[in-house]
Amino acid sequence: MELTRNITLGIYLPGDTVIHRLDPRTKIIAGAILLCLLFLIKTYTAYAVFAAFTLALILTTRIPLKFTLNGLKPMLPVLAIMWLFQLFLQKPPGANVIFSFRFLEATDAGLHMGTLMAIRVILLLLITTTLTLTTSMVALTDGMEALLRPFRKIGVPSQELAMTMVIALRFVPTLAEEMEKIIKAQSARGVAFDRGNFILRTAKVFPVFLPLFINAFKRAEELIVAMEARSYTGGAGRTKMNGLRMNRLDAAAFAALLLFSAVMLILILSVLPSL
Amino acid sequence: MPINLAGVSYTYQAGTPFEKEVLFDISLNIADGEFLGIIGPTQAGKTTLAQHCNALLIPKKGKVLVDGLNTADKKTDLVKVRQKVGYVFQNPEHQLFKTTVGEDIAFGPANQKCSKTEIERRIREAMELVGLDYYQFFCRDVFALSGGQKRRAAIAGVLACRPKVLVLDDVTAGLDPRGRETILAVIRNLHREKKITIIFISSSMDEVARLAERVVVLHRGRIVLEGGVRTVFAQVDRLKAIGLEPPQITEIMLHLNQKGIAVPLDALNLDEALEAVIAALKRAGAGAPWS
Repeated sequence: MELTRNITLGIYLPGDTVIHRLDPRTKIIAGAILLCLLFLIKTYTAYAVFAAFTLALILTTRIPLKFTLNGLKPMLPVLAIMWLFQLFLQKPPGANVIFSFRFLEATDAGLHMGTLMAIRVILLLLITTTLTLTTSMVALTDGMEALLRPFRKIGVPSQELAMTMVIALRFVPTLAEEMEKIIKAQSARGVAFDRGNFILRTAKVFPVFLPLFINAFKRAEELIVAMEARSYTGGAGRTKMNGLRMNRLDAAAFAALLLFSAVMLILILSVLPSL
Repeated sequence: MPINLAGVSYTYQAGTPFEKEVLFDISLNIADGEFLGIIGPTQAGKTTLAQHCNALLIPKKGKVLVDGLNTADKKTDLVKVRQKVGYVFQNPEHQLFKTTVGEDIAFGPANQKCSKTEIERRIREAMELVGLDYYQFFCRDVFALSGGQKRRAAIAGVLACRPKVLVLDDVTAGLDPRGRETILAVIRNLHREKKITIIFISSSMDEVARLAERVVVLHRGRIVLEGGVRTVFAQVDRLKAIGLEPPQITEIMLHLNQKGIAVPLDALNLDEALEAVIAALKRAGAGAPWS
């Protein structure tokens, strides 16, 4: 019974590869651009090119591919359900029915859309996981804060926002670990989590989630006190000892990204979406 | 109901960059009615070892037999195993979730599909065993209890499942002295009166010295010392070598030895120590040094 092992989101693996050394701002912007591209593309060819790029990216980080891919595991059931929904419920006019099961009818359009959606979500997860695996939390906050700074003038609390996001990410593994402990404690009192039908299993989440939420609130309160005890007063007047600095590496990364985006845009525009 | 561990090894997060081996080839037999203490410095693998005893963890290598049932066997009903071996976590917040103490204790027996009257009986029994007054605490909000009371409520929640073996994972950590003494008295009573096998993990050598019959010392995932509580704690040098502080009584006896008063090191409590010192002084033929 190990939950922690399947959660890669929010974990940072230190390393010394090109990706690790990039300025966090570069990585965040690049990630955002890649995600935008991901939502624009609609053909299998474009997805194949994008997947190849993602794979290359993951390999450059020298993090075992298996580890990154394991992070997808908990998402697979959700993806499968979403895929089935698309498959059976998408019925645009002119779609052909591939097969039917009682009142359910699967259309070719549904199959197409479901598959594209699944690929899209998988790639999205891989990109974000790669970002968090190669960027420490400190660097991520610094990056986000720097990127949000221009919006301070219109009243966006950039520092606080960045801090909130980073704390949320930071506590994902912690909460997973805690959940594992609670599941164990309740198993020791005779809950069989892997038994019973859907409704019975759903009822079994309460003995886990209630203590988990209560602990999360307690933890948040303790964290607030600990931060304030060390004179945290929010973003106002904070300075940095090591400011962020972009260098040639970042320029090269942006050049590569630009090139890739251009290729993707050509692919998107030249091949008319089949649907 | 014996528990046998044979060549048990365990690795956390196997197959990831965080892979960590915590147990190496552990073999251990826990007999019926025994009071076993497990000690060791932090990160020694105490909790990991204990969680093998009720199939919360399944060994990666070797096997664990609980009352003859192999926990790694797919056909073994793990719920039954966990019913026989209760496990109390260090942090009661990990298991208390109902609003009142009574409801929370009822959770275990309800999972065992006990009848209403049976559940009621077990709640009363469990609360009595841990010294929580039924009328006073049954309707009390669990989150309004003190640390020691919460822990007793958590133990009651496990006892209501009627386990034959009870694993206690550092249950006195972070309690005030009075709460600690109450818990220790409860545990001693469970062992003596109810004949429950106790597996007691603790970071306090004094507690283990006072309660346990046999002690296993873990260090970096291996058993480095094992034996009767007296023999283990008398080996002060070996305990110190792995970073464990022997019980205070043993320390005092050690100091007396260094001062030239030959006393045995295996005293476990004040009374025994006193007798040993008096005997040593008599042997020396001298009057008491303080007279």
